[in-house]
Amino acid sequence: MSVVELAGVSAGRRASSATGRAAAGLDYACRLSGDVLVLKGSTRAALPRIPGYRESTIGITSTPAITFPQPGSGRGTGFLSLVSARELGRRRRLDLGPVRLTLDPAMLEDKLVDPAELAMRLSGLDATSRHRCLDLLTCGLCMCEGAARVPLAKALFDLRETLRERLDTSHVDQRTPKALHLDALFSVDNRSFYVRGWMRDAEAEISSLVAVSPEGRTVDLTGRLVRYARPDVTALYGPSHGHNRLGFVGYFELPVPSILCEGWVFMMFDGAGGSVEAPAPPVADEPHHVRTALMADLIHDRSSERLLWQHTFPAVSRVQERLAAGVEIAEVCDYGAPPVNPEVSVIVPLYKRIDFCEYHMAQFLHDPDLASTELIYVLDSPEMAAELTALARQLWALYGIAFRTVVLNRNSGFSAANNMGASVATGRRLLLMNSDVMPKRPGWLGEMARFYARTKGIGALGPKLLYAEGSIQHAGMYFRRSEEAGTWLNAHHYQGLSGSFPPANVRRPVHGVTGACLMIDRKLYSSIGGLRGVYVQGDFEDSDLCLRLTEMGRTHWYLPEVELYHLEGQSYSTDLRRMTFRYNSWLHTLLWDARIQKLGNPKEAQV
Amino acid sequence: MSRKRVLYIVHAHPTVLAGGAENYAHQLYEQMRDDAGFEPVLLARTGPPSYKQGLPHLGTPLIPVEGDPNQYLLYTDAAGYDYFNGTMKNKGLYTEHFRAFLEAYRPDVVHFQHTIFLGMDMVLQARRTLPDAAIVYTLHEYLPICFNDGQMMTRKGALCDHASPRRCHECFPDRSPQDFFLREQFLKSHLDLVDLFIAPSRFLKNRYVQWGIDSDRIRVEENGRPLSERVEAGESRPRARFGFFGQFNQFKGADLAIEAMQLLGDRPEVKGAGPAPHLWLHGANLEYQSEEFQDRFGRLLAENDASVTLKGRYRPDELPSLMAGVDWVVVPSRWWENSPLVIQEAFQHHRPVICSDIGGMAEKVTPGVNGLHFRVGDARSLAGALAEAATTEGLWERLHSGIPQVPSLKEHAGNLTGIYRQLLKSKSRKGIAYVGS
Repeated sequence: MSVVELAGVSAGRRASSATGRAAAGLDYACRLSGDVLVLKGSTRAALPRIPGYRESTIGITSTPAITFPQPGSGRGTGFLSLVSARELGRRRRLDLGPVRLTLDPAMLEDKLVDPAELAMRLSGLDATSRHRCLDLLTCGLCMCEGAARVPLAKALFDLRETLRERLDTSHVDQRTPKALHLDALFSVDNRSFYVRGWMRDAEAEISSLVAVSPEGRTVDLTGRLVRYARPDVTALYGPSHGHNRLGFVGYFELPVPSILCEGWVFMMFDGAGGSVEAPAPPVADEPHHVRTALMADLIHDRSSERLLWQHTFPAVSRVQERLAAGVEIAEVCDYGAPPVNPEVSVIVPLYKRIDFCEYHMAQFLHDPDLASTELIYVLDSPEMAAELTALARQLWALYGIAFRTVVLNRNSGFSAANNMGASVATGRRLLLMNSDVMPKRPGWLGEMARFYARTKGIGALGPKLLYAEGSIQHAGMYFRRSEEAGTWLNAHHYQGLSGSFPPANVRRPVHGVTGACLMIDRKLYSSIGGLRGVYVQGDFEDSDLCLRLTEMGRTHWYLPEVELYHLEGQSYSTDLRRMTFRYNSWLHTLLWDARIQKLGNPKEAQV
Repeated sequence: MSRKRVLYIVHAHPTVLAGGAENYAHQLYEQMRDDAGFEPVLLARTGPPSYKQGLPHLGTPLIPVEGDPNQYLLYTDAAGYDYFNGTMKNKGLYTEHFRAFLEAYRPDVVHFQHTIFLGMDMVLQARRTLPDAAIVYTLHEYLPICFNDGQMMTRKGALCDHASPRRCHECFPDRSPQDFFLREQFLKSHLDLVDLFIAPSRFLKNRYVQWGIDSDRIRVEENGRPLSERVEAGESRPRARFGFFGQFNQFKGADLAIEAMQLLGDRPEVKGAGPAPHLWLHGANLEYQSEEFQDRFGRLLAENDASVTLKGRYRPDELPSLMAGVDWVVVPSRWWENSPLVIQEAFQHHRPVICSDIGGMAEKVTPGVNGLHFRVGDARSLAGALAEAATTEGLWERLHSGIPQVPSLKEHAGNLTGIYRQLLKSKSRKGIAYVGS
């Protein structure tokens, strides 16, 4: 039998011992999961009231506790405390203010206790106290990790279902004055979420909206969401005199993790004391899916940028971190012997269109420089790995051009693909090259490498890029303020003009060069961490890289003698694409506004 | 010293499918076999739809041609062929089978006649396997330049004088300009490994020069014809018998010739001036044309049954007698043509030619010397030329005497032998610049 020693007095696990109860008020202890123990007790005086609790340090170095009125008696204070079993494994002594506990190690081996019993022990409390208890118990999720969380979370969910206060369930019906509906709930990571829904109250002003995680954590969303018009909902109820922005979207964080995807409940309260609750659909957590939803909702952000700043930005930043953290190289294959000490490593991310490799081979065949170049294809569409292997083998057999393929474990975007490619590169310089870039004539790479080598203080080097029709796609980059959005946009000098337009044929320093074909010293590239993954799917990674190099005092050069084609297919301007671009340009401006302003008038850079 | 070897590669074999280029390639093969210069080997593509059985033998796509150890069919599946870029999707055809074939025969000259349903990569594989071999490529039509079946006409039927990613995309809206750009770059990359191109007409050569191939890499060399019976001029008499030889389709313009016959009947100079002009149509494949074309063609024939006779399909050996039955050969093609076989045949049989004033036709027929031109696609202009031919006294005899000698297959094979020797002597090859470690 487990024994808890409390201030020198031992108490049974069920605290049935008259001695223990009398002396310290510990009436119950149980193991909520493999890692978390719960102590419940009542004390008349010994335990001070602890105002709130400090979640951030819970479970590791300090012991959280919550106090509440003793039910029934109206006297004294009850307490509930969580204890980390692992922590106890080392210390076995606990401090609850004036009360010191020493636990019997045997307790650590004990079986789990049915949460129903704990629920029963807490069920006598008033609603507020019960909710505070549930809040506290969710802190247990911080005390364990990985798979160990799952049984705990399930136990907490069962507790919540027993203890939480239930409101009327919302029904979407024209005759019902109050309605709350959740369209979607996304998990940005396990502590941060993004919700989309709508609510309506024809009887009184809505005073608050509260979310309850499946594990029982309550978070107040009142005033933190962005409201927007929902013509579909308005059409259902007809025009109303009150608030017509019935929709809401928003990002919120929990102080503790939530890992169950089903069981979220949202509760709406109004000024007249009315309330309803509604379940949320299962949490969607696939990061690309979440990101797409975040981007798509930017269309509801009118002029204020509040959604962008307070919701989209923190949420997307976390999604991007999550995506970046999960990227790994799944496989590296060499076709032919890679060159020894190559001057340049060409890194080509492949996304969907792996057929571009074949076109490259047909061109590289005619270029002696390519034989001493390390050629690296990074597959960012891992579902095509087998197809790429088959193609690569055949191309190697037919063309005899040595190359390496790097397959990523998942789709991770332009910057990660380039960075992963760079991580296996051995060349002195890197040439980042889009898959739809094709050389116009042999010798281009050697010429770029020689120019790079002899130019002091160079950062990035870019050639002239032409469209398939022969007009200019890129002749160096500059920044242009968007008249519509006020953000900085990347622009290409002389874009659309004839490739032979004389001013475009002058070698010169530029504010930046496009990442579609960019040469940089490999060590320099890795020293600044390569391309940054903060942007969503392209647009500004290259200018961001160039600006960071500019900060370091490097100069970027445009080399018009070297010409390649950049086929850059038309991209359809979907709402999603426009919103993503808006987000990226906003972020790019947030990061670089001051620096870009210092660069001076871009037109002066045009000859 | 053993004979040097030339490998001919062509897209079909006459025993499977009879078309201009494959007939020519086969005749050339036989001629070379009989000559002393080079030992020829013929590799001719077969596959669906002609050969329906699928890969004939597990492990090899080769099928022998009966009775000749130097002739092979090479099976390729059209379904695995990227018709747009002209390449087999599975490169094993090149890297395994074609390579093994090259290594077995080790030809000194690889002469491509056509690579459709084989792929342009054949050139690369030949170059990689046999760095010292001379690679020759005969340009029979404009397929590398023009995706519209190499016609260099827009799909709406207008003549087109050059290809570009933009123009081709306008013709094929489902393919992007980028696709056409890549296609051109890809094909040129392989063609870049050819040592010498042969073009049967200057016009054809010029189209390729305009497309970007260096002029000095293309030799104009007219295809040779097997010797055949010459049809004598005969006595001087009115010459109002016209013949059309070829397929009945939109491009070849047989319908245009009927229309011209209709207009011809109304012309004052023709009325009552000797025997009435008559047109015989020799050819086939009307049933494969669009319904619209067939309807129009049928209507025109019905309206002109007094002056036009549809004779239909003929065997090659019937040609001399059919030629003997007409005075003039009409070549009213709406498209450029390359070096039309029908003009060579007409000249071989000493028939002056009335043809459209464009492309390979205009080049081969000199107006007032050995034929007449009319404005392409213009029935009225053709009617004028027919009237002139039928009514101008002494014209036929004059043009008949101006007809040039058509090079014989033997002469042609001799010229090619000379070209091969010259190439082998020079030793300079269009090589692969990439030299791996």
